[in-house]
Amino acid sequence: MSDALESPAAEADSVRYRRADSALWRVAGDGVLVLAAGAQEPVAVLGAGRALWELLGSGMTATEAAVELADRFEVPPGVVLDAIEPVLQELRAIGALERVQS
Amino acid sequence: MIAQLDDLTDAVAAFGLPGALVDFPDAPLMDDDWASLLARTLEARTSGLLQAAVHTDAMPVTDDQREQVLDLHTGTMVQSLFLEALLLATADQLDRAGIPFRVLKGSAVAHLDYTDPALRAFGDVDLLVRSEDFDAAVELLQGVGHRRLFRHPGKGSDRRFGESTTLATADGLEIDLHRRFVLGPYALTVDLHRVWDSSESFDLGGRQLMALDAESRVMHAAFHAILGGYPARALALRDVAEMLLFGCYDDRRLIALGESWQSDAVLARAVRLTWQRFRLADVTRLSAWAARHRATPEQARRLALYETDRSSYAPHSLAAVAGVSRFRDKVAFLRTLSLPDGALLAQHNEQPSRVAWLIRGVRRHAAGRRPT
Repeated sequence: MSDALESPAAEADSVRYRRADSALWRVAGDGVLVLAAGAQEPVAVLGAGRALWELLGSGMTATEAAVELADRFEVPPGVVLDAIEPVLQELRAIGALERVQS
Repeated sequence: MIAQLDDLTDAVAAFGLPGALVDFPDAPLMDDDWASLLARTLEARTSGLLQAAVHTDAMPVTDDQREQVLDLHTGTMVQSLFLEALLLATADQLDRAGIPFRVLKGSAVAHLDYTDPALRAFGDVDLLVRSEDFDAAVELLQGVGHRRLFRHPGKGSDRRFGESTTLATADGLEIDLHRRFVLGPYALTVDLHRVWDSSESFDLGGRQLMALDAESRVMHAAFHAILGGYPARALALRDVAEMLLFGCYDDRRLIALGESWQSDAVLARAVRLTWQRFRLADVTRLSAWAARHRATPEQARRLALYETDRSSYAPHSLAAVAGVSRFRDKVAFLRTLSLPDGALLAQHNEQPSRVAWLIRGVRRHAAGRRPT
């Protein structure tokens, strides 16, 4: 099934993403600066986004990442998922994340 | 306060080294001293170490000062990322042209020798090419639009031209292209065959780049610390300390390499100076060797040639202060793309501080342009 045919909820459960090898990044304070290959400008992923970026060193679905972060920060997983999905979407859009082939 | 600032600048550069008997103040610095420290930190490229010292509360600061350090560090890391993008683009260009190269200093040291590359900032891309490839490499890089610079058009330009050249991108980033990695008399004693025969790779942006091997990196760092400017730069000494305290070099091979390059006196002096400036209490086999080492009269004469040249890296405090402003302006351009915490707070009043901290958003850096 292609990305386009998957519902957001199904994708959150089934599609694994990880940091793109081609992305350059640095930790800066509580955040991470990410310069994706071909991007004209870096993005700063702040706060617990740093923990999310570290989790994405290995392949992970959005739901799995949300569960991990929820446990770490003692916040309901649904709240975390709502918070991280736009961040994941932005990182995917700029090419900083790549889909893990299963 | 200047002497105390000197000590504090070294304390920042030594932050996190085991056995470093350096002191931080008991209270935040007053505004003028703080501004001076920030300027020195920018010039010394130790913002990552100051950020780490502040983050762990080793260095007491006000809330405003904490923000300023983070701004400075963020700006510095943005520059490092742009330089690494330039390094990757240049590596591809050299590969396509069949020109072998080694990455020197900056990115190579940050990734191979530091526990966190964010601790090691750098201001340019340094590449070593074979002497016979030098002109072709310069031509190639000019061909992709980089402009050759002559930073010192007067005194010493011929000597500098002979050893390396600097090329600037349209965005103002710089590539230092070297055919040797030391100037003056030592250029004749350093046998670069080893550099090409033995190397170590590191991963950057999904590709492997070749750097010097561990012992050659220590020697290069020692050259840079002792011969690269007088007095020795704090970051150059930090590189030496980082490699010697955490690195995977071999003592015997390192000393043998120093002797074979007739540069054992440089290595010994770099180690002694690093231990002295950072007040490192721990004794290692190499620091014990360095303490015992005595330069021959000829070695002492050679070293003296470099230590009297104060012109090359004289401090430029005013320029550094201007640099602080530039970085802060640059960082101020970071803009928010998404800030979900407000909505989250409205929906989930429980544990507001944790939720607010959870994701503060993705911010885009709009000021800089990636090198082409």
